Amino acid sequence: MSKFLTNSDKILQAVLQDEKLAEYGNFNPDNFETIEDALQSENAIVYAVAKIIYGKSEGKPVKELYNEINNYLKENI
Amino acid sequence: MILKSIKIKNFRSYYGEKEFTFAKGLTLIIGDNGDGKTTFFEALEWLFDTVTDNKSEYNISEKRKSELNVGESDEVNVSLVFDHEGEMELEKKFRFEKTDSNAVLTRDYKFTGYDSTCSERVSRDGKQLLEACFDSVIRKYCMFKGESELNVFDNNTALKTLVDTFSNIRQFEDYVTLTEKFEKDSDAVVTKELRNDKKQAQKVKELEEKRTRNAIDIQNVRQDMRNQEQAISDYSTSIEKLEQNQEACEAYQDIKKRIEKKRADQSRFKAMSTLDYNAQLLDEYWILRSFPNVLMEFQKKISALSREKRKQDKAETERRAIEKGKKELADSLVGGATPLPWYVPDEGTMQEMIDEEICKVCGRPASKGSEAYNFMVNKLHEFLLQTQKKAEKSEEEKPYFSNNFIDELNRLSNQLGGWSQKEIVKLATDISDRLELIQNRKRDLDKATKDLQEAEDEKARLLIQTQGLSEDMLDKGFKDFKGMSERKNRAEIRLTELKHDMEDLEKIKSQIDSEFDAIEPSNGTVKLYQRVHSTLKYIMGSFINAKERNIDEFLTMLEKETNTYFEKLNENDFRGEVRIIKRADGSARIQLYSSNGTLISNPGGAQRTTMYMSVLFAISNITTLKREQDYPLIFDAPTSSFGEFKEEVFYNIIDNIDKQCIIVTKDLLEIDKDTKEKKLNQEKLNQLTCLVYQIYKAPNYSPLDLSTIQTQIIRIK
Amino acid sequence: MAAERLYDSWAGRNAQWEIKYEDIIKTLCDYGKGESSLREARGKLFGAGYELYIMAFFIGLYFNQRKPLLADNTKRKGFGQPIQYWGNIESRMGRKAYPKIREYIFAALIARTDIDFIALEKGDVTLRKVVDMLIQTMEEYANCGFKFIKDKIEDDPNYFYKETAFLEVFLSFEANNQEELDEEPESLD
Repeated sequence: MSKFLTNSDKILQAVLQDEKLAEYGNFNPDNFETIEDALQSENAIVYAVAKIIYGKSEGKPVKELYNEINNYLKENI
Repeated sequence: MILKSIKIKNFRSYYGEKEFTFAKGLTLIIGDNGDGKTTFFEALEWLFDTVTDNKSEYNISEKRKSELNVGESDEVNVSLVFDHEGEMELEKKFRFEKTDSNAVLTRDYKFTGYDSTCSERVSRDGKQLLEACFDSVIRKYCMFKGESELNVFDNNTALKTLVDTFSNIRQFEDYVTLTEKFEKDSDAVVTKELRNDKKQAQKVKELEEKRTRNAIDIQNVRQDMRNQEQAISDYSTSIEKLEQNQEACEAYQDIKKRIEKKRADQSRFKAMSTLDYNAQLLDEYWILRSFPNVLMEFQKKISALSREKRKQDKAETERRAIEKGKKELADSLVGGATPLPWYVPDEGTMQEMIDEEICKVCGRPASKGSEAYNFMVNKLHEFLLQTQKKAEKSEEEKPYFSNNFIDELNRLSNQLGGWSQKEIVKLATDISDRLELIQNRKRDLDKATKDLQEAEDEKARLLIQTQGLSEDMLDKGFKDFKGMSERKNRAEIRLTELKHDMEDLEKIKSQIDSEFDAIEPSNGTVKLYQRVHSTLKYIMGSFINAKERNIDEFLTMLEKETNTYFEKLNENDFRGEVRIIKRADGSARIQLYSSNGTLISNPGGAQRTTMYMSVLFAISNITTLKREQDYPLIFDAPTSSFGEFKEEVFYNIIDNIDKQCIIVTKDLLEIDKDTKEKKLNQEKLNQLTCLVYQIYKAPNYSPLDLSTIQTQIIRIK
Repeated sequence: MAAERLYDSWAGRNAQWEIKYEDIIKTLCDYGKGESSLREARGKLFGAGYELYIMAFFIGLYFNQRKPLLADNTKRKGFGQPIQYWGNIESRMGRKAYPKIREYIFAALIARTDIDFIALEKGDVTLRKVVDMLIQTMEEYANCGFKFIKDKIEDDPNYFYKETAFLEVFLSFEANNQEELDEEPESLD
């Protein structure tokens, strides 16, 4: 039953486990197993984290990724 | 990956082709220093070298090289057969050709892999095969040379590498860096906007200044902390090295003192037992040892002579006295001195008369030949005779003994008597005493020489045991230890201070940040930026925490695995555990704790080795889990000696751990103290269950001529 | 002219030895090249030749055996130094001067030579004649000693290279006990 988790998935899970973040972002970490799950979330924090991880693993240039995240957060916080 | 066998051909001391087969469990290769142990390991290293194409002459067997005639050639070849989802072979070789009496040319360097997974044997590039089956990252945790390499955490990046390689999650570090950058950039944006806010400009400016200063302070403190941690780490490593060898250092000092003392004794005794005997005979008059009798003869003789002389002298004096008396009596009868007869003129006149041939008494001529002439001559003659007799008589009063030689001899006799004589008589005992003294000192010298040799032997054995440490290091190590401990302590104290400083600075930073966040911008946009920044800050924090948790999890897992092996290797004799401690600078240390939680800061050599090997087995296990592949562990001389452990027990345990292990070691080899012969300890050998090879130098070699050296191998078990 | 001492007259002389022993002297001593401080470097046992002569003399003396020298002058030789200089080593290379040895040799000669000292004292016999006899005794003892040494070397050429070789020779003679000395009080005449 256990899915094959990529490294990115594992990072995501580890980060979302952070209590402070969960509290700040008001979300339940158990709901998000993979990057795909997170990228579909409406929770801005969760999405942002997923986007960061995904962007980096895809090799996106840092500046571009930053702008993306920044813009997203501006819209959604 | 399971190693099956290796062939080593003409690689340094391995003259010709030698093959080792490997067991599934433990293979022990036993040999002394210089027999080819480390060369075995280095042959493997050479084979696995993917960085350089090493066809150095240094690796060619000198013996083989020397045998070749000009124009002839042979090859250096190391090839390894192993199982890795099929049988594989890795071969590295090159040819060498003799071009001159002393020179070779190398060529045809080849590094090939052979893959037999399919029915056919396919050749591939050696590097590729190696990286595919046994890549350099894994190799790093599979091959260990010498005891000093066993501590995988001895450098600061080790932990990071391990975590990256073996933990569940890779490259956390990079994400942390990324989110930190985002936070920083976002922060910069906010600050910029706030600056533009005229109402808040002043406050912003102040806060910015504070922030800048604080950042600089933090940076400085951080750098200081890193410096101190590095220093502590360096000192710890050195201290560890010194502690490891503390016993050896102390032993060395002991032996050094003994050697010095014995040398001094030797000098002393040598001086006291050497003597120029021939010079003594003359300079110290030892030649007179048997002289007393002769001396006595001399003295008696002289004594007798003196007596005789005195006696004769006395007798003569008496006789003369009597004679003199008689004469004086006779003289007094005659009435004084005897004058000439009245009718005889004096001598001068007589001579005149004779010359003139005329008698002046009666006036008659007395020519030569005449009676009257002869008469005159006779009278003169008589007269002269008389005069002579008188003279003779007074001559008789000269001494009887005209010489004083006997007196001279007497003086000499006295001179040679007394104290001098006593000295000569004493000579016999003096000589005998001195000879005895010399004998004793000679015995002392022999003993001192023997003791010195024993001490030198001990020193040699000690140096062999503490391979990797020069004699100089052993000598100084002792003194360095104290200094280093002190410096380490000071660094640790300083570090603690710095940590406090850091905490304070961090508090200030938070405070500034809060003040920044508290600034109510007049502008809604800025407020938005602030919120974004806040979010990014939280995200950054969570990445950081997640990373640390990851590391902690890894270390916990590693620790647990390590202790499983540690227990096994100790055969449950030792109660205590290994802990792997994470440090602030991102490095880790392996430490031993007793069962009640106290740190054992000086584990003995064998205990230390066991600790490190446990970690390595644990990592190997983790590797197996991760890669779903087993990898062999190869150790070159991992132990100086097990001392408190029994080698056969230790090795049997390793044999039973489900790992392929190849250990090249000196253990179980004994050197006969007297004959210097090397042989295996049969008793211990019989208790081993693993595969055992012995390697040794073929006899009749000359240590200075490499071309006479070749390694022989025998399979013992 | 002051009266010459018997000792000085004797000491001014030179002792002679048979040429056939010259090789031995050359081998064991620095003889022939003048004394040099390199004695040890040459591996010689003794410095000047007379040192070996002294050894030979005492050997003959203690054996109490004399061996007359060959009459032929051409088969005899003397040292460059008269007896009065024997033992006068300037302290060098660990050696010490031993001048008193001359007196002891002289004493031994007096004891063992049959001289009519009374006649000498009276002047009935010349000093020169007496000294001749003393020298003869000396030469004959030494001659015996040389033969002994030569025989030993013929037996074993390395015999005297053993550092205690000569010492052992002298140890083989009886030393004298204190008791023997005390037994004979000097008669008081």
